[in-house]
Amino acid sequence: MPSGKKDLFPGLFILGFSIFIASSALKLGIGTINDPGPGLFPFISAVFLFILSSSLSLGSFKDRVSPDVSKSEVRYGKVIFIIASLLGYSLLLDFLGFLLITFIFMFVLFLMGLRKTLTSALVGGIITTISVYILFGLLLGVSFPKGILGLWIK
Amino acid sequence: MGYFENIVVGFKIALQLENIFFCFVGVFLGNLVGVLPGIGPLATISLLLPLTFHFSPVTAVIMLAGIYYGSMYGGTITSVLVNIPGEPATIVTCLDGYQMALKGRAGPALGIAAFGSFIAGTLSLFGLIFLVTPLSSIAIRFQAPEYSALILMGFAVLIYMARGSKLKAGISTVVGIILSYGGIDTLSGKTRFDYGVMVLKDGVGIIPLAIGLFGVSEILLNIEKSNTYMVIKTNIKSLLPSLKDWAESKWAILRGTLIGFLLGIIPGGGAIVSSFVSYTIEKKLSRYPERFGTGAIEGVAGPESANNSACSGAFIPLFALGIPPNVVMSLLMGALIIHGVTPGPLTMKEHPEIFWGTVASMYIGNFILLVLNIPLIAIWVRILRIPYYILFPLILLFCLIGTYSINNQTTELIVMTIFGVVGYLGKKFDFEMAPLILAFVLGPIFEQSFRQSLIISDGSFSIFITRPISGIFVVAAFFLLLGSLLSRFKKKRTVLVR
Repeated sequence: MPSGKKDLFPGLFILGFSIFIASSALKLGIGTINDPGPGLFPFISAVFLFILSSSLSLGSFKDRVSPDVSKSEVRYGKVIFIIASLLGYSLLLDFLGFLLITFIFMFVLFLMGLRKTLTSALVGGIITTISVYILFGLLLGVSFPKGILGLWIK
Repeated sequence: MGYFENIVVGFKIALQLENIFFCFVGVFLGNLVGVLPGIGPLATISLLLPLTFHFSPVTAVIMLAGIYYGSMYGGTITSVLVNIPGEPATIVTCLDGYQMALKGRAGPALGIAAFGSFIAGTLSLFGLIFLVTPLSSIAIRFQAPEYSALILMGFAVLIYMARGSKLKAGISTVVGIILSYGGIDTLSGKTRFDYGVMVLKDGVGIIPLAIGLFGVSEILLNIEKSNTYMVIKTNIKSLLPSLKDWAESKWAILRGTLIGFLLGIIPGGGAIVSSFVSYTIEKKLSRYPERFGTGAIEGVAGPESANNSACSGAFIPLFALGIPPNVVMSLLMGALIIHGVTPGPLTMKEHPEIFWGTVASMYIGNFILLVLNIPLIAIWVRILRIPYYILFPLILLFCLIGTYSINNQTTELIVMTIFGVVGYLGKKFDFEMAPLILAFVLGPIFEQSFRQSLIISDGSFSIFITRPISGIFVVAAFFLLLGSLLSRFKKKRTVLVR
C-alpha cells in the first residue's frame, strides 16, 4: 500500500513514545558499557526507535504518492462501540459478576449484529452466558467473580 | 537412545488416550479457525493457553501444535470456496484454488491440498527428527554471545522478510523489544517501566498482548467493513484428484515440502513466506506458466505442501536452540515456560518426552486432519456459512475469558483492550504485528545474553565478531539489514521514476 502522508501521524506518535522511553530509561540508570545498567538497553532501543520513526515521519513528507483511499464503507461507530463494550466489561466484571455482565455484553453485541430482533439477542445472550459458564466455570474450573449476584448465588 | 527407540517412546506418549483426545481437539479447533476468516491460530492458541495450565506440558504442546498445523488445512477451504484466505499462509491458494472451484474442480483442489499437506507434514517430520538432535548437540556449546548474535540475526530476518514496509517492520520489532523490558530486570533486580501501575509490575503479559494484537484487532478490522463474503455454490462430488492431477502435482508437493521445511527453520520465515516462495518457483519451473492464476493444480499443491511443512520445520529452532522462529512458536515457548520447561538444547536430554511425544502426535494429527478434510468436507462448508454477526461476539467473549483466566485480574482485560486498539490502528497504518510479538518474546533473552556478553568481555563489542559462530550471525544480520535498506531505496527510486 502506498504510504503518502498517512504515515505522518503514526510516525510522530512513535517518535513521542521513543522520547518518553528514553527519558524513563535515563532515570533507571544506564550504567557503563562493561557494567550495563537496567536502563541501558531500553535507552539504546529508544534511540533506534527515534531514528526509525523520524525516518518514517520525514519520509511521509517526501512521498508524493497519495494515500490509498478505500472505497468501501468504514463503520467506525461499530468499532468504537466494541471498544467501549470491552472496556465496560473489564471495569464492571468484578462489580456485576460474570453471569450478569456476560449476559449484558452478549445481548448488546448480538443486538448490534442482528439489528432488529430483540428476542433473538435476548435468547442468544442467555444461552451463550449459561453455556460459557458451564464450560469454563464448571467444567474447566475457571474462577469467575460473582459480583452483586453473589448475594443470592452461593 | 537411538532414533528408533525415541520414536517408539514418542508414539507411546502420543497414543495415550488423553493425548489423542487433545490432539484431536487441537487439530479440530485449528481446522475450524482456519476455515473461519477473522480468527487465526494465534488468537486461538492465545485463548486456549491459560486452559492448558491444567495439562501436562506434553499434552499442552500437543494440543497447541495441533491448532497450528490444523489451521493450515482449514485455511485452504476458505481460500478455494470463498476466495478469501482463511489464513495468511493460504493467500496464494486463492489464486488457482478459487479458479479451479469456478471451473467446477473445487473437489480436486481441496483434495490435492489435503493430500499434499499430509505428505508434506509426514516427510517434514522425518527432517525434524533427524535434524533436531545434531543441532541440539551443537547448540549446547552456544554461550551468551552466540545467543545474542543469533537473535540479532532473527530480528534482521524479521525485517528482511516483512511483506510490507521494512521500515515499519523495523519499528514493530523495536516496539516489541521495548515492551519486553517491563517488569523486574533479572540482572539488577530493579523494576522497570511499571509507572506505579500494579499490573505492570511483572511487565506486560504475553496473553493480553497476543490476544489484543491478534484476536481483538482482527474483530475490529472485520467489523468496520460492511462487505460480507459469499461461499461459492459448487458441487463437491469427489475430492480425490485424478491421475493427471497427481502427475501434475507430485513434484510441486515435494518441492513445496523442501522449501517449507527449510524456510520454517529460519527465524522470521515460516508458513506465509514459504507458500509464496513455493508458488513463485512452481510458476518459474512450469512449462506453461500462463496457466497459473487460471486454475493450475500445481499452484495449489506446492504452496499448500510448503505451508504445512513449514509448521514442522519451525519446531527445530525452538527445541534445538530455544529460539522461536515465528509468532506461534513464541506462544508455544511461552506455554512451555509456564509449565516450567525452558526450551533449548538441553530439552532433548531433560524432557525427551515433550519433543518425541509432540513429533509423534503431529503424525497422528496429520492423519486425523486428512480424515476430517476428505470425508467430512461438507461440515466445514456449512461452518463457513455461519454469519459473522453471530461469530464475533463469541470470539470477543473467548478473548475476555482467555485473558481473565490467567491471573483473574480485570486490569489485564484493560491491557488486552488497549493492545486490541494498538493492533487495530497498527494494521490500519500497515504495521505488521508479527515482528512485534516475536521481538517481545525474544527481547529478554537478547538483552540478558547481550549484557552477559559485555560483562564477560569487559565492555568490548569484539566478542561478537571474534567468536566464529556469533561472527557469522552478526555478518548475516548486517547483510540482511543492508539488503532491507537497499530495497527501501530501490522502491523509492522506482516510485520517483514512475
